[in-house]
Formats: sequence, C-alpha cells, structure tokens
Amino acid sequence: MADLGFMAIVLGLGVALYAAAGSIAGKVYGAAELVVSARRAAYLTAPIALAGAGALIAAFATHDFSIDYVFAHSNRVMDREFIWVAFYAGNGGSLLYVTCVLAIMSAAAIHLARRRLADSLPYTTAILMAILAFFFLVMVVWANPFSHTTCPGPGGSQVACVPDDGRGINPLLTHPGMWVHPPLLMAGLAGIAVPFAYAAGALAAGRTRDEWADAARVSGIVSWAILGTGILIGAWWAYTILGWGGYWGWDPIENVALMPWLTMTAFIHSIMVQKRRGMFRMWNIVLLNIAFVLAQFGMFINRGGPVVSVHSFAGSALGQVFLGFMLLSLVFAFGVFFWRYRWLKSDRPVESFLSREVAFLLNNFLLLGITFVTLWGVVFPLITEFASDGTVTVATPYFNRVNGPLFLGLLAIMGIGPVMAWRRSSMRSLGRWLLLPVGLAVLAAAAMVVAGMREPLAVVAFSVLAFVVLVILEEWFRSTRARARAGGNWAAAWLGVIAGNRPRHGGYIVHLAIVTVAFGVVGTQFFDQRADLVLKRGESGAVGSYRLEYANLKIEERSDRTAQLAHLNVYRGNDRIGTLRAWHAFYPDFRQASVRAGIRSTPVEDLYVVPTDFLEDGRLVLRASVNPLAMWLWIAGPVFVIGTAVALWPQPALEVRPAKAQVAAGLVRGTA
Amino acid sequence: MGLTIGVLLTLAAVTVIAWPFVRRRGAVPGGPSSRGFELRRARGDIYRQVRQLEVDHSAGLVGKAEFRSQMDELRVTAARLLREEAALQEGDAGQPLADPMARLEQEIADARAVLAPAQERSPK
Repeated sequence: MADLGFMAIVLGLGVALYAAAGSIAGKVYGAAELVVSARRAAYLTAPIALAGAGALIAAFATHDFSIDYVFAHSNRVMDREFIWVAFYAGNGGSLLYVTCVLAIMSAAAIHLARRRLADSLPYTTAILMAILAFFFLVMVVWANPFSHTTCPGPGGSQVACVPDDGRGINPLLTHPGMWVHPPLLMAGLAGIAVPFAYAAGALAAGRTRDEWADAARVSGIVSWAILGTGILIGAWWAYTILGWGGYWGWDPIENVALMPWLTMTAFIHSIMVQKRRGMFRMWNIVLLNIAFVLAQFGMFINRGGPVVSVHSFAGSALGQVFLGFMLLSLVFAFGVFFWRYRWLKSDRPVESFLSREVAFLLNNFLLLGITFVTLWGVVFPLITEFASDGTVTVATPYFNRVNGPLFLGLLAIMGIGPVMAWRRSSMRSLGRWLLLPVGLAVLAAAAMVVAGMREPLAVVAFSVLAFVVLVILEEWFRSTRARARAGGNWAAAWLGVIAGNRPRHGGYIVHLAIVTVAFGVVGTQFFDQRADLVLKRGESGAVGSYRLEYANLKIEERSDRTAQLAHLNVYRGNDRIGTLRAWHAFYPDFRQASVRAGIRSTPVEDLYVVPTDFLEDGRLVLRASVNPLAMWLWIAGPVFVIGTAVALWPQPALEVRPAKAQVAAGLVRGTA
Repeated sequence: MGLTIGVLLTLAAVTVIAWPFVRRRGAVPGGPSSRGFELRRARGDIYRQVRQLEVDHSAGLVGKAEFRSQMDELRVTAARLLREEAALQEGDAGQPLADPMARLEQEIADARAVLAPAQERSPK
C-alpha cells in the first residue's frame, strides 16, 4: 500500500504541474489540443488523489504499521469506526485529505464552467492546479504519509521495521463530531480556492466584467456552507468533549476558520450587487483575495505555525512552507488585481444611502471589521513574542467586548437590509415596512424588563433578534398574500414565493439560522449558572434549580485507557426528572484525559455535568452548569443547511433564443 | 500488488492526457460563440429580474415611481444586450436585427409567462 500511495502522490504532482503549465501554454499559443489535454489532466488529479487516500485508509484497516503515519495514529484496540478519523489525524494524512477534496472540487469546477467560462478557464485551471501541485509537493517532500516506520538499529542508525502495535489515536479525536468537523473545515478552507480561481482566471484572461460572478457565487456559497457547518459541528464537539462547558473559546485555530468564513459571508452578499447592478467589482475581487489568503493563513497557523492549540498539528516543521505559500498567494492575488483594476470600475455609482447596495456594503464593513479584530487578536501575541521576550495572551474578553457590538450591528443590518429596495428606498416605504417589526421588538424588550431581565445588553440583543425574525416573516407574509391573490392556497403561494427567488429566500432561511445561533449565544453568555460540586456516593448538590445526586460509578479498564462512568440522578424539587451519565477516561500513553459531558438538553436550558476528578476517598469532583438556550445553537445547523440548499437550488433556466433567430413566438422557454 | 496498480494508474493517466493529441479537434475554446452564450444568459437574467421586480412591487417593497424607473433601466440593459448579440452575429448572418424593441417586449412577456405561478398564467 505504501508503494501505491507514494506513486499516487508523485503522479499527482506531475499531472497537476502538467495541467497548470499546459493550460497556460495552450491558451497563450492557441494550441487547442494542449488546452483539452491539460483539462483532462486536471480531471485526472481527482482519481489519482483518491487512489492515494484509498491506499492510506486500507493501510489503517489492515494495521500496516510499516507505514509510520499508521503507526503514529492508530493501534489494534482502536475502534474501527475511527479509521476515518485516524486518516486525517496527522499532518500527512490531513494534507492528503485536503488534496483529495481540492482535486475533486477543481475537477467539478472546471467541468461545470467549461462552456460558460471557456475563454478564461485555462487560467482558472492553471491556478487550481498550481495550488494542488503545492499540496502534492508538500506531501512528497515534507509530509509523506507513506514513509516507512523506522526503529533504532545498530550503531545508532535507524532501520525500517514493522512494530507489533501502533501508538494509538489522540483520545480527543475519538468523538462522533470528529467524523465530520475536521473534514468539513478543511474542505471549506480548501474550497475557497475555487471562487478565487474563477475570479483570478477571468482577470488574467482580461474578462473584467461579470462573466465569472455566477460561478464564483455558487462555488463561494458551497465552500462557505461547508466551512460554516464545520465550525458549528466543531463548537458542538468542544461543548461535549473538552469539558470546560463552552463551545467557542476564541482559540487561534477556531479564529483562523472563522475569519475566511466571515469574509466569504461578505462576498456572497456583495456578489449579488455585482450580478444585479454591475457594481462592487473591485471590492468583490478584494474580498475573494482576502478570503483566499486568510484560508492560507489558517493552513499556516494550523500546520506547525507558531500557535499551540488543541486543534493544531503542533510540533510540525511545515509552518515555514505554508507561510511561504501564503505570502506567494498574497503577492499573486493582489498582483493580478492591480494588473487589471482599471477595468474593474462599477457600471454606476451608489444612488442613495437608503438602498440595498449600501445595506450590503455596511454588512460587508461590519463583517470585515469583525474579521480584522479577530485577526489582530490572533497575530498580536505573535508580534509581541517576536518583538520582545514576553508573551502576551489575547483572551476571550477582548474578542467579546470588541466583536460583541459589531455582531449586534450586523444582526440589525440583517433586519433592515431585506426591506431596502435596489437603487433607492423612500423613507415612507421603509417606515411602512419597519413600523410593525420595530414596534413589536420594542414591546418584546419592555416585556423582558417587566419580567425581570436585568441584563441591558441581553434585552437589546433579544429585541434585535425578534426584529430580524419579524422582518423576514413580514416579507414572506406580504409576498405570499400578493401571490395568493392570484388564486390558490397560502401554502402553495408561500412555496411559490420561495421558489420564485431562491437565492434571496434561501438567504432569509440562513438568516433565521444565524438568529437561532445568536439566540443560543446570548442565552448561554448572559444567563449561565455554574457550580463546582464534590460528592460522596448518595450525596447531592445543587446547581440552578436542579439537584444532582451521585448514584454510582462504573470503571472500565482497557489496554489504552481507564474509563470511569458516573451515574447521577437529576431532581427538580423532589421530583426525579432523569439520569445523567458523565464519562471520564485517562490515556496513559498520551498522558491525556478525555471526557464526555453528561447533558440533559431542553429548548429552555441544558443541565451540563463534567466529571473533573475522582478522589481516592471515593468522592467525585464535578463541574456542573445550567446553560440556557444552548440547544438552539445546534438547532441552527439543519436550518443553515436547508437555507443554503434553497439558495443554491438552481432556478429553472430561461432559455433565451439567439438574437438573430427568426421565430414568431416562444422566444423564451423555461427548463426545469 | 500496490506497485502494479500504481503502474496501471500511471499508464491510464498518460493515455487520457495524450488522447487529445491523437484525435485533434479544432480551435481553442472561447471566442465569439461563447460571448454570444454569455449575452443570452445575461438577457435571461434581466428577464428574471423584471419578474422579481414585479413581485416586489406587488408586495409593496418597491414604490410606483421606483418600479417604473427600475423597469426602464432593465429594459434598456436588455435592449443593449440584444443589440450587442445581434452585432456579434452580423458577420454570420449578414442582416441587421429587425425591430429589436418589439422583440424585447415579446421576450419579456414570454419570460413573465414562464416565471409566473401557474394560477397567474391560466386565462381568467
């Protein structure tokens, strides 16, 4: 398997380099066969990368410890369902995974655009293949996942060997969330290369109008949705396994995934302005460039960069390689932009500040504001460490205090934007639309204060969330009513409204998902209650309105761990309302503990219990908390996916006849 | 076994990459025909925007004056695209496009019929 795997990555490198060089040479010298050949080579990189990945997975499945990567990330007692996780648990395998994803995405992107972007596609192909070649090269030279295991030999030398067993998988990765969280994050970050390549390829070909906008929008939404889902599942993983009761810690590795996602959020909004109004062309290119470079920054930080995190591949020497690639990406992206920026001017100026264009622009500024605040929080410790001997840590309060108000402003814009018309809106029209949502949001705020809520920021935040939801409901109501007047029932009319403009209404569903996340964030940030309990068996302690009784403990010994499962009875008043099972395991080989929180989840609040220590006298040390509205964070996930699917679902194509086609009727046809 | 699969994979890759040179096909993709395709696609987008503007107007999101102004702008853009496409085809067909505005209105009406809900399309 090692032979097949290594041959695949070497072959992949050669084919990707050929595809990149052949595309450009074929285009420049007008050699059609070379362009087609290079395109086919680009398609081939996907099965080649998959062959490499298949070889590595097969090596894990057969416990082939002659491969060092398999030895380092698995052992014989590892549950088989974690073979997939072990595949990308280290640098080499995760790079192979990224290469596979990028190769598949590139092949799809090139194939789907072969007609619409025929003129610029050779450049797009070259850019994608150059990026892919970089990943193959890193594996061939610096992080070969198929290198042989070595053991100490005579005279201090290292000789190839086949150990009886491997070191095992990192215990923190043995969680169902790990099945999808890292793959989605890596795929989302890698996928940003596709819209970037469409845009940069079009610029290189001198296509400086809006030819690339559709393709970049669709591929941008795909990578953005994958990344967003990965971030949310990562939050769920942190909530259930890391044992500190939170889901987002502004950890540098979390931040480097969030920043490209925020920038892509800005892009998928402002690209609509370009498509609709022929404006923001320069701005959209800049956003894509920033997102792409931030994705490379993420790779740099994640793969042996100077930051240590629970999520990173610490100790890797790849940091400098990825730093170099990031700087190269930066120079290339903005080099192409400055080469063509004179031709990127907007067709028309902004006509009014009360317009959807300006709402989108404001949304973009806020999103970029949050991005740069976060970036500063990530790089500031690095700068201070570089400039002095001391180390400065930028902690959660900085991010919360600076980004909190920006997020609140963003939510408010999310409510106002949809009622803004393109070009200009009248104050009268806006007033008519906003009166009801604003009035009801203010009433909701008053009701919260009367009900005893004493956190001003929480009251404001909940009111803004109510406002956003009400605006969306109002637009759906009015549009549905207008459509229902033509006949038919309201349900069909509402579905007709959604289907009639899928990007817009899919976007609204995504907005509802964001509101749902924000609902959970406000609840857990402002109203959580915590207690540290030390309990003997049969004893109980209180947290919030709950009482926890330590019922019993089960101990399980395995060759790689000692696991303890605590059973706790949960009472409210004198009523027993359930049982919680909280799990704690210690892995001596890794000198690492892993926990599974016991969680009783309802739409109102989570009761969350983590065992932190088992004392010799039999007492159990627990950290317990009540996390209001936490369930809404996870409910947002499916809503987000549904909204994205609606936004991406193709509109029925309008088949417009060529201008010179001489037909009397039926000039426009719809095709599903 | 692994080595054999690797060699076969390499041979297959070389064959697929070399095939276009064996069966030569023609010009480099791109050029006037793809530009015409882009223009037709852009025209389809404009017709879709016309329909959406009508929906927004009937829902009260866009006022009457703004509706007219935006509708005029969309018509002008569609007419420009139509003329540009016709000019692109001049070399092929030889004759100029007859009455582009009438053609445009017909296309907008057809697009409206395609995009409107079934109940709006049925005769009353």
